[in-house]
Amino acid sequence: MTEEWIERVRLGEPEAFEEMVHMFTPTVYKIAFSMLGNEHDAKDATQEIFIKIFRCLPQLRADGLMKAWICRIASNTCLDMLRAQSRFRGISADDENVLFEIPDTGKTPEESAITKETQETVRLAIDSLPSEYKLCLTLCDINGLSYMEAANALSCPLGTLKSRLSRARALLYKRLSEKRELFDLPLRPKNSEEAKKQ
Amino acid sequence: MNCSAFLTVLHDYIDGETDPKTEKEIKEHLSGCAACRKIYHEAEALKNITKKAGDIPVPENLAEDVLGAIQKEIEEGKPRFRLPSFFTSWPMYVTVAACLILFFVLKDSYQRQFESYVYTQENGAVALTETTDLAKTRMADHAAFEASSSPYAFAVSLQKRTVTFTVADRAAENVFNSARSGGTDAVIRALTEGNFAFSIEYSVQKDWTADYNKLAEEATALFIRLSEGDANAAVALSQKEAQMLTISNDCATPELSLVIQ
Repeated sequence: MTEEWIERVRLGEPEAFEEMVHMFTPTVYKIAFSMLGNEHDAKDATQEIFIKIFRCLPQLRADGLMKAWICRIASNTCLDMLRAQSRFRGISADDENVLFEIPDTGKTPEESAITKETQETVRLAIDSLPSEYKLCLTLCDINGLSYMEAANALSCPLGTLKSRLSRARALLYKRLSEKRELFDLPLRPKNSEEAKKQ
Repeated sequence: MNCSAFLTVLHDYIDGETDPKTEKEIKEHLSGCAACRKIYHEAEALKNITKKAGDIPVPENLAEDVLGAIQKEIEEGKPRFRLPSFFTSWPMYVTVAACLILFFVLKDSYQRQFESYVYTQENGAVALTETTDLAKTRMADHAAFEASSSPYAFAVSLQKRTVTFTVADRAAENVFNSARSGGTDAVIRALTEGNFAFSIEYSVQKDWTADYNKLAEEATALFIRLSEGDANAAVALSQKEAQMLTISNDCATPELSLVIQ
């Protein structure tokens, strides 16, 4: 992503813009999927997001934060869609009592590396988090944005981003570690004695 | 680096956001501290499974669909949502203004029809169910406000769900204002100067526990002390209230009501 290329995108040059769409479709789709929870809505949202990006191209700056800019439009669009669907839970980041049911796969830890079921379970756990936490995890852990890019995408200070990310992980850890049968990962002590030591 | 310092930079380290010097210190600490090593591995594992969970397949041809949608947008060359012209014309503005005026006129008229007003408190929120006139409405609003924000909340939230105010003069408003601005002492002064007669009415249902009855009696005694100017009673009263609410959590109907006359 050179400055020259970003400038071509900004000017709406078809080739550069198409290249940009291909490059960022996975990122935008993953954000949409994480926020909206299903493929159909995520696809609609992805189209909506790129249409907004297209309309806002003149605001694009060649300062190396193009990914953050795209993620910001994606995050805001998804939040708007959630509100419009009345699915926005209206819970704050402090509310940790969201209902969350993890399906019991009945597998022993030995059997359960990262299976599709486990993947789905983690997705459900992420989906049950407050929106701002979900966004932090989606941007940083799933899409690999740096702290600065994620803070820029969420229009919040760096400290706020770090604190939300830390809380999001703690809450996710708590929810997943309650389901001991699902993970063959060091998410919790293997036996009660270790738990006592902690 | 000690364990406490390590924990403050744990996430930075996992996310590759530490500078080389800190990174070196972290590695040194991890090599000698099994507990922190365990925490580090757990946090790293969590990040990995989160990443894995988000690694969803992107639908085929999505990028092409997106480009197609944008092309369509360009060809249509107009905003996607445009209000019909009627909604932005002057007759619409006149209609909206007339409706607003009518609404406020009818609202006042409706409020004046009632003789009493009752506020229902559920789950910490106070809702107006009936109103008399605007002055009383304002007092009621104050009461609702105090229920969650001032020392005078003891009076409103003492009873779990229903508080009936039969206050009829402006002195009552002073009580509410005092409560909001001056705290417990000001409330007591305002109550005394206003010559309010207090009574607490409570009825105990048969299935209620003896503990609750006892607490209700103690709360009544405290309230009387409070009305006589004993500021310490307010704190004790709020504690009793908390106990009473705990006991009455399972009960469907309220049983203790405060009446200010």
